[in-house]
Amino acid sequence: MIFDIVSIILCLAGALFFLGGTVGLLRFPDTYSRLHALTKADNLGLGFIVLGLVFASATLPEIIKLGLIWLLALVGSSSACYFIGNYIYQMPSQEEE
Amino acid sequence: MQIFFHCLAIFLLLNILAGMWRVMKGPTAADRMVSAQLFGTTGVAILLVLAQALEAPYIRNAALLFALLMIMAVLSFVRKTVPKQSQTGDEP
Amino acid sequence: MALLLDTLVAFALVGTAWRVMRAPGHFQAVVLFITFGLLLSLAWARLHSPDIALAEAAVGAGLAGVLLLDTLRAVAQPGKVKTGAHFSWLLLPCLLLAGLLSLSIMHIGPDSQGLTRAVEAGMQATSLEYPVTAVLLDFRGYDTWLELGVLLAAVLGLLCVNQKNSIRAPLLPAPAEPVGRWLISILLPLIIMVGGFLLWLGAFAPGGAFQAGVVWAAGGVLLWQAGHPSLGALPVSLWRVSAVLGFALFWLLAVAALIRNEPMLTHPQAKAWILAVEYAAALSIAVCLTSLAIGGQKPEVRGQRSEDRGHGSGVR
Repeated sequence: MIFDIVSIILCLAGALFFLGGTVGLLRFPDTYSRLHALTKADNLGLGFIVLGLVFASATLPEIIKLGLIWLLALVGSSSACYFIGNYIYQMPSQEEE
Repeated sequence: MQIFFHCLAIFLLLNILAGMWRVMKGPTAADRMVSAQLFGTTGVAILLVLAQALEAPYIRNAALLFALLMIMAVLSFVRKTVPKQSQTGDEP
Repeated sequence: MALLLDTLVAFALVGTAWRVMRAPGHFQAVVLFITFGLLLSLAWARLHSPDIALAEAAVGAGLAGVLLLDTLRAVAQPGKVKTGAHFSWLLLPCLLLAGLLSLSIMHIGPDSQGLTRAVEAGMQATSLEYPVTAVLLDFRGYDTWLELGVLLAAVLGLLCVNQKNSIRAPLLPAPAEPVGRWLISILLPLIIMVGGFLLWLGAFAPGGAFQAGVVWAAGGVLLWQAGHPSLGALPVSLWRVSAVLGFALFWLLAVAALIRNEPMLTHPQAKAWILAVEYAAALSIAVCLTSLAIGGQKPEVRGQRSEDRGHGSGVR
C-alpha cells in the first residue's frame, strides 16, 4: 500500500514536469529557451515517472529495464538538443518552412 | 491503481496534442524538430505507463526502441547536404 | 477511463493524419508524420498487439523519419511549397466507407475469438511456442517469403534507377564533433544487442525477424550518418549475399519440400531450421532496408564521374 502511494506521488511529480515542458515549448519566445524546456521534461519528467513505475513494478529485471530506458532517453535527448542548438547557432538565418 | 495510470496516460497524450500547436506554428524548422523530440520522450513515458496499466510487460520493449532510435531523425535533420567529395572513393 | 483513452488516441490519429494532408509546408508534414507513427504505436499497444507496436516503434522512430527527411532535402525547392490540391470531394465517400466499416465491426460481437482457435489447433504441429511467430513463419510462410522478395525487388529497382555500381553509397564524412562519435559508441552496441534480443525473443514472446531487422537497419543508417568507415570496409559480396540470404533460404525450403513430395514450404520438424530461416530473414531485412535508406543518396559529383567513365561498367 505504501509503495502505491509513493508511486502515485512520484508519477504526479513526473506529470508536472511534463506539463512544464509542454508549457515551456508553447510559451517561450526563442528556440534556445524551448530547447531548455525540452530537456527539463526529458530529464526530470521521465525520471520521476520511471521512478514511480519502479515502485509499482514487481521484479528486478523490470526495474533494470526501466532504468536502462531512462538512461537511453537521457543520452538521446541530450545529444539531440546539442545537435539542434549547434545547428541553429551556425545557421542564424533559417528559411521559413 | 490501473485507473490512475490510465489517467496519467490521458494527461500525457493531451500534452502531445497541445504540443502539436508548436509544430504547426513554430516559425523555424528547428522549432518543429524540438517539438518532435518532446513528443518522442512523452511517447516513451506513455508506453511505459500503458505497459503498467495494461499488465503487458512486452510493451516496454516498444518504449526501449523509441528511446533508442529517437535521435535518428534529428541526425538526419542537422546533416545539411550530402557533401560533394566522397571520402571512400569509388566503388570497387 | 480506458474508453476515454481510446477515444483520445483515435481522435489524435485522425487529427494528425488530417493535418499531415493539409500542412502548408512539406517539412511540417514530415514532422507530423513522425508523430503519427508514435501515436500509431500507442494505438497498437492499446489494442494488445505488442508485436505490431514494436514494429511501428522501430520503423516510425528510426527509418521513416530519416527516409522522408533525406528525400525532402533531395527534392526541396527554396521557398514555400504550395500544397493546393483539392480533394474535398473525397470526403463524402470516405465517411461512407468509414461508416460501413464501423457497422461491420459492430456486427462481430465482443466475444468472438477470431482466428485464435484455428491457430491454437495448429500449434501442436509446429515446434514453436509463440503463435505470432508460428503464423508468420509457418502457417503463412508464403507471405513472409514474398515480403522478402518485395524488399529484394525494391533494392534491385533502386540499383537500376540510380545506375549505381553497388549497393553501398559514398559515405558522409565522419562527424567533426566529439558528441557524434560518443553517441555512436554508446548507441551502436546497444542497437546490435537490442536487435539480437528481439530476434531471440521472437521464438516465444513479441519480437521476431522483422523487428530485429528494422533495428539493425537503423543501426546501419546510424553508422552511415556518422560517416563511420566500417560500412564501406565490408566487401560488396557480403552485402549481396546477405540481401539475398533470407529469400534464398525460403526458396531452399520450398524446393526441399517439393523433393520430398510434401506441400510446398512445409517446415521439417527440427526447430533449428525454422530458427535459421528466421535469423536469415532478419539479416536480409536489415541489409535491404539499409541499402534502401542510404542507397538513394545522389551527390552531384557522382553523376559527373559516371559520365566520364562511360556507362560501360553497367550494374554489377
